[in-house]
Amino acid sequence: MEYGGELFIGVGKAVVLLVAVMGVGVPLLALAERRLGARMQGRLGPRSAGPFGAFQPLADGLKLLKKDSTIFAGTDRLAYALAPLVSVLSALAVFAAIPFVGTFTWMGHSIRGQIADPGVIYVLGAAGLGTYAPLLAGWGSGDRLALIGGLSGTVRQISFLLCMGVALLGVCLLQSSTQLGEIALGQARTFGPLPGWNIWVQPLGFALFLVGTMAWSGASPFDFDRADEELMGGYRRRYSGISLALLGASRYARQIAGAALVVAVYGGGWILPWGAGEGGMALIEGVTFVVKTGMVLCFFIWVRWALPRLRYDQAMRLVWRVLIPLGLLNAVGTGLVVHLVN
Amino acid sequence: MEIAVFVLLACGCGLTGILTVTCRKPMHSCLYLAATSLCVGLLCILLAAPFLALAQILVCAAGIALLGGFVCAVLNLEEEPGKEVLRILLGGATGGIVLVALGYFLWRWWRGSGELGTGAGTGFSELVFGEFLLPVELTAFLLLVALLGSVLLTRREGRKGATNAERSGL
Repeated sequence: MEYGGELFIGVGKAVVLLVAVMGVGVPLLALAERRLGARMQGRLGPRSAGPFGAFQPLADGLKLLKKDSTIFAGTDRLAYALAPLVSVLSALAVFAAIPFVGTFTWMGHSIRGQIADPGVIYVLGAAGLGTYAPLLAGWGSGDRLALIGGLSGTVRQISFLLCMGVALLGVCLLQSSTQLGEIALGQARTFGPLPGWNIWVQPLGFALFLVGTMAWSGASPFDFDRADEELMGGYRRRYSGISLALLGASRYARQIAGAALVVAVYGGGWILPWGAGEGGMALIEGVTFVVKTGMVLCFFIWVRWALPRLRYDQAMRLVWRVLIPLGLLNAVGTGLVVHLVN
Repeated sequence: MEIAVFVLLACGCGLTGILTVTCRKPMHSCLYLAATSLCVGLLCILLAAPFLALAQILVCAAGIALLGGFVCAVLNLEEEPGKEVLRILLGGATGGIVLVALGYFLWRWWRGSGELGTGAGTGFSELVFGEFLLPVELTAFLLLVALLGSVLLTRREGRKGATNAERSGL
């Protein structure tokens, strides 16, 4: 394919992804979180705006857009303005490496189902840049509570990103690849009656990655950095209007990215169980991936409404004394097994 | 197109590098340092060294610069008054060196084949992970020891009845 054609397809994929995540995924997740939370607590939840409250996220978004962005005295404008942008862009950058479908043919062109496949290091790097957002927001707000929230938010993201990275080592060793596309494709196999997904061969890695993803994305019960009761919203407390909307949307985008990563690395990606739909249309593969991602997100929401929020010290103790050592043990064990088998 | 992007990124490196040392606020300096690392990482991608680029972004932009920013935020470092001349001298000297180095490499490229070198990144990686693997690993270990040592040296002894905030020095 010529250079112009490749560029056009790449830009097209990025636009589709942007619309799908920010235009559909984020509002749907916001609505699902409120509806499922209401169901778990025996409440009605949002139901007035549109059928089943479907337009509630749109109404919330419009309300925020109409609000003024108030700049308080003592605010560092550069850091304050950069934080929401960094948060959104880093979350969106992670999506570029996620394989949503396999390779398919469209109008005579062979197209890969991901924008690029630079590997897990890129994913960790892109996610790592997002750790600036809480720090900038907290420091730029010029407020003590916001600063405490920002610092703990950055520490949370770094610590649990490390946990995710350590958990990924096992899969990378097992499949001899760091490319997400190859890792997803390598799960098109069966283990007897079970689909050959990495969740069965790396159960500990899966559990660690799942917890790490939840915490990195800021989902409860790991949202101590914005603890509404203690820190009054944490690093977001001095944001309003479109900046606040961007910070909120980036949290949902990170959750979707995290769930999609879990599916791509451990849940078989776009591959249906037992080879069903093999060689099928990209549409079926895409729907499979979306359904699996939705199931992981429902798990996130269930945990969010079921468990109480962890304190900062509890979360740090959990990640540094339990999760990361377990992840290292998992990586060493997997390496030994791979070495012995080979 | 490739050359235009290269020149743009190189100028970005130089500009953010100068801003890193001339900027008044320490936190802004850290931000500009992160931007410089990001530009260097993108330059590495352009030079067909993707691993080096990602390592640069992960370690320098998302690690070292972030650590600097974190320290600035914890210590609540503000603008330092009364060091204008020193700042200008240091900033000018460092920025000048960067510009001279940039100009030298651009001149060499201009006098050379006219193609962007693709072996530079690969060669560097081969050296780091081949011939110089042991020194690099030893340096990494030394940095780790230094980090742990600094934590231990600055640690305050907890006294009976002290609150968590007092123990952590906040």
